[in-house]
Amino acid sequence: MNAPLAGAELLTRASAGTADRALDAAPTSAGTADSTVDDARLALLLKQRDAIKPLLEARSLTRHFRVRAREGLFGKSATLKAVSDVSFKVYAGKTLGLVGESGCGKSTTARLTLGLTPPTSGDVVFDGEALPARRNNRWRELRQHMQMVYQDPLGALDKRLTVLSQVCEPLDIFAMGTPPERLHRAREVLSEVGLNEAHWHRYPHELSGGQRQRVVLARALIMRPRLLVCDEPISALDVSIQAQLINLLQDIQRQYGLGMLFISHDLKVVRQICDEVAVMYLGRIVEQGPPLALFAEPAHPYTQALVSAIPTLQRGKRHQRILLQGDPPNPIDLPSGCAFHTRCPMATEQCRQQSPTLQTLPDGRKVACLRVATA
Amino acid sequence: MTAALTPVLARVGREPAIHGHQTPMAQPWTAAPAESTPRQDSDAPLLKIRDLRVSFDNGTHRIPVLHGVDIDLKRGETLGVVGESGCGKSVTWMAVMQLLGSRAHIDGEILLDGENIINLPEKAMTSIRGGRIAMIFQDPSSSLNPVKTIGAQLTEAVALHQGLRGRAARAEALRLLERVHIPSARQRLRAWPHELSGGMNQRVMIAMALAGKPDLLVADEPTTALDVTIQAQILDLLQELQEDTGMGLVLISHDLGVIAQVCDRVAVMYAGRIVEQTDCDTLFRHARHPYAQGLIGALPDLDGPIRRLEAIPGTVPSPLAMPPGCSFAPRCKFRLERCEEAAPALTGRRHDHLIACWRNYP
Repeated sequence: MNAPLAGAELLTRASAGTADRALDAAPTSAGTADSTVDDARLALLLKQRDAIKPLLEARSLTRHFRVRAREGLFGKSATLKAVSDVSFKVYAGKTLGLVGESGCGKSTTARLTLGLTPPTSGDVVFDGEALPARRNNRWRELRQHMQMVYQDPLGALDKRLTVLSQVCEPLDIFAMGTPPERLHRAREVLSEVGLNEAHWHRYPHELSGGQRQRVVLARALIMRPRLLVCDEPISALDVSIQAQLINLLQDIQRQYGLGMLFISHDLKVVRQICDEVAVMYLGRIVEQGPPLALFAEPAHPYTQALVSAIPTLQRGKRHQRILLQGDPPNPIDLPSGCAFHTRCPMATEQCRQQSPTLQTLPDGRKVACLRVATA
Repeated sequence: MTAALTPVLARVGREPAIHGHQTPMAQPWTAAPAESTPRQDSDAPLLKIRDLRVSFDNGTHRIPVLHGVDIDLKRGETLGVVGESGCGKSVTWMAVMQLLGSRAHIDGEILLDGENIINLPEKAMTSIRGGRIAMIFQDPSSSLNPVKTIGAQLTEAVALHQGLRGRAARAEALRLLERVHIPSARQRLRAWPHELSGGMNQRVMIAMALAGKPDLLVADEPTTALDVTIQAQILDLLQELQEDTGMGLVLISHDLGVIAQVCDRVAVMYAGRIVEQTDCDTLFRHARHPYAQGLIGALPDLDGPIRRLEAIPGTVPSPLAMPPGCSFAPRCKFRLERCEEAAPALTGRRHDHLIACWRNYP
């Protein structure tokens, strides 16, 4: 665990010139990788990429919230461990997927990555520069390059602004260019996301769900960001519209070499869009690796259950599911040892006492499970 | 009421070629012996919907949202209804349950065991609703009363539908909770809805639905608000209950995967019409309607190589501005001239595979 961190540290301290050259190389390597790369090539690419500086690096991110454990004025407070020791890297032109069930800390991780919520410990490094813990001027400057797409577009958009002025707003805030230039740029971005002149002067309520999400995307893209954090961007949409937006996101990413952190509970979508996947359970990453391998042969028992529970057309009625017993435990009162042991069909006494750390498997995947590591 | 309907029934039974549409949709559930009355015949459909039309009154206009829906459902059968938001999948079943309110105009026939229950007076409907047909909804936490305990709500349902009181009602409530596999059920009777997880609340809703010993359970997106591992638990429970009780089950969902996992037959709806209706395997392997094909093509896979998704261009038409012909025509890549003139009826060469598409006509 320490060795790669030290390496990354070295890289971040490398001179700015080297860093830029390394980043320039990243989109080209992304361009050659078409969407049908097989696992072997992907593994090779992953290895090559390790030599390249990541666009974004999260190091041991931890976020605890103080909550009232019992109702009332004199209720005792407790600690909710939303995210514990989460580390990952996002590369330019690549997508990292974060999956997990509700309450597993994936959205908190997204907010931590952008500095919208300060971490309790750990830090985020964007393009070689540590993200300021406070929302100061430097943070605001960096935030131009890291944008977010939210799940509920109607909630994310201003109901009283037309599409065009909505999309223009970030340019107004950063006072970029003259007003006519801003409008021109806004129209450009809107047509990129597939909205034409007929939509420019509409209000959010006059658009369909898919069109609203396109506006949110346009607003995020107008700053020409290098990192896009998407928190369940298509979960509220219908299947046929979901496919439109997935294709759009992929096209835009390929065109601009965007790094993406893609958060979703839908494993099928994550498999479709991501180059690497991290599965979270109760605030920790339990398995991480390339999606094709991870979904074909999940190593962690939680991932196994998750993959087996996905209803698909091909599986149909006869598919045998691994049924997990009960609900995930309360994050205020986490079980000792491995947090998954209460629902794990493979749990032993050791799992109840010892909490596992992420170990690298021979194929390069990382798994946090005592049973898998010892096997 | 029943007497007035008998001729209709007899006709439908003997001459299947005449109902709703002028199409060979026919062969409702194959040759039922002419002598047997529908109620005794186990092969007769439990529920038969014919040419169901619903429109909403917005004060100035009547906006049609359902344009003639035909559905047959046998006992012990699971029917999946799939479609995107606004396609009328929920409205169909809300109309069956008469839950649409006074602004809705409902036309057609809804035959439950041969008896037409369409526009039944409210008093008569209350014994059917929750009794013979039960319904569970998407968000269990908002379907339950937040200021009453689980036990009180279950006991109320048991008292209403089974006429039990006091200790007997509480015992039945406990039995129902155990039936839906809620751990430490006795303690949970005293719990409030907010103390239970979403999955547990959905189990409570299912227990309440079972209180009336329904012949038909309509589950409207029962797992949409739940996590995938909890969804698997609830789907398993629904299947198990159906196998045990032999009730009919209607599963409304936007997720084709969920439908494939649970259902025998599936009806794909688009803009207020059924566009394809067949058994699950046939649909997922040999979908014929361009919309059904599009829905399947738009879904990412869980195995195999990654392909670019085939998105359906455009959006669902607004009920205020429906195209004159086939409502899918503006988005359809196989559009013919005919498609823009009139809407095709649901028909097929085989009675178990019906498609509403002009390309399917000779």
